[in-house]
Amino acid sequence: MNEQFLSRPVRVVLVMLVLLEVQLQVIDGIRIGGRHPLILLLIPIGAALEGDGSRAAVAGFGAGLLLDLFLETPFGLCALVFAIVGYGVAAFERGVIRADKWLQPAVAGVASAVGVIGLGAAAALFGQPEYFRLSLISSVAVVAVTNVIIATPVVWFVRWALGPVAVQGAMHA
Amino acid sequence: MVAPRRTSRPRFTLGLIVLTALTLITLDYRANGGGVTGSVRGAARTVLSPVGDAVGFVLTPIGNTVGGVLDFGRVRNENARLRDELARARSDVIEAQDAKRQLKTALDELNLSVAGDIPSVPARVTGGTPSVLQFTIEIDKGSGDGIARDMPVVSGGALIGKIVSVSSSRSTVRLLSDPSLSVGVRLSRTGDLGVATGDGGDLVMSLVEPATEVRRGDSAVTSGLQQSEYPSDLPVGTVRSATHDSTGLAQSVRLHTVVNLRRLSFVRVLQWSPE
Repeated sequence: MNEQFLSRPVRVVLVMLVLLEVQLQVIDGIRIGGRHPLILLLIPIGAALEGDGSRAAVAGFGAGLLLDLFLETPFGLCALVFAIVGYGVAAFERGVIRADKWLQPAVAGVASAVGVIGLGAAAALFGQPEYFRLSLISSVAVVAVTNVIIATPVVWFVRWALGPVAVQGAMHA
Repeated sequence: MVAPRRTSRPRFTLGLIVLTALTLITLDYRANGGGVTGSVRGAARTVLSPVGDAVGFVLTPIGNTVGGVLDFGRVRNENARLRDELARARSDVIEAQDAKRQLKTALDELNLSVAGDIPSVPARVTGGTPSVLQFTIEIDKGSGDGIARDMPVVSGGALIGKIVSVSSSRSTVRLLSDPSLSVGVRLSRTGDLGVATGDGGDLVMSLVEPATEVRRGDSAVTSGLQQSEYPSDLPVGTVRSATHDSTGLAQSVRLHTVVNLRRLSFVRVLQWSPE
C-alpha cells in the first residue's frame, strides 16, 4: 500500500480507530474461557519492532488512552502500561535481538503477556487490588496466544500507519 | 561514512508520557470517575457510538460466528442443562404462583415493595467493553432515559450487575462476575446471609456458618438489608459447591449466576436507589 496515499497523522488515527472498532465489535464477542483477546496492545508492540522507543511509547500512549475512554479502570492506566510496554519492547529489540520476521510473533506474544500482567499490577497499584489475582493468568494466556496468531497482519498495518523510522546522519552516508 | 542513528530521545519521551499518565490517573482518582475525565469519557462514548453501531452492524455477526464456533461444546452442554432446568421450572411455576399470591398479601400488609413493582428501563446490550481486567457490558440507554449511576440491572428478573457510568445515551454495567463487585446475599432455604463477590466467572459467597448444610442447587437472592445497594429477593445464583476454609470457622460457597452473563442481549435497569 502506498504510504503517501494518506498523511501520517490520518493513517495513525485511521488505524487506531479501525483496531478499536474491531476490538469493540468483533474481538469482545470472542470469549475463550470467558476471556477475550486485546489486539490494541499490538499497536505499541508493532511500533516497537522498528526499534524506535520514542515512537513506540507515543503509539502506546495514544492507543492506551483511546482504550481508557471505554473502561472503568483509572483514566490513563492503559496509556501508562501500553507506553511502557512499547518502550520496553523497543529497548529489547534494539539491545538484545533484532527480531526477524519469524520471531516477531513470539516477541508480540511475550510482550502481550507482560502487558496484561502490567495492567493488573498497575490497577492494584492504583487502588484496585482485586484485579491482580491468580485468575488473571487466563487473560494473560488468551491475549498472548491470540496476539501471536494475529501479530503479523496487525503489525504490518501499524507499520504502514507509522511509516519508516526517521534516522539522523543518513544524509552523510 | 556516518552510521545512521535514531533521532528520538526515548527516555525523555517515556518520562514525559509517564508524567502525563500519572497526572491523568490522579485527576481521575480525585474526581472519583466524574469530573473532567468522566466528561471526556462520556463525550467520547456518545460521539463514537453511532460509528460503533454502524461498524457493529457489519462486524458483530463475524464476531458472533467466531465466538459461536469456539464456544460450541460449552453451548451444547448448556443447552442440555437448560432443557432440564426448564422442565423443572415449569413445575415450580405452579407452586410459585400460589406462593407469590401469599407473599403479595403479606407484603401489602407490611407496606413493602417487591422488585416487580420497581419502575424499570428496558435496554439493549450493545457490546462488552475491551478490558481484560473488568467484566462489564455497554447498553444503549443513558441519563436521557432516566438511568443513573448505581442502579441495579436485571435480566429475566435476576440480578446481573449495576450501572457504573452513564453518558447521555449509553451506560456501562458492571457485571456480578467482576471481582470488584460485591452483593449482599441470602441463601433462600437456610436464610444464611453473606457477601458474594465475583471471581471472573462464578461468585464466591464467603463467611457462611460452618454448621450450615448447604446443598448444591440451593438458590441465593439479594439480602436487601438496610443500606443495601440492591432491592431484596432478586435472584442472584444457585449453589455449585461449598467448601470449609482452612480455619474451619466458615464456609465458602461458590454460586453460579442465574443468567449467563456472557450471552446477554436485553436487560432492564431498575430505577431504584437505596433508602
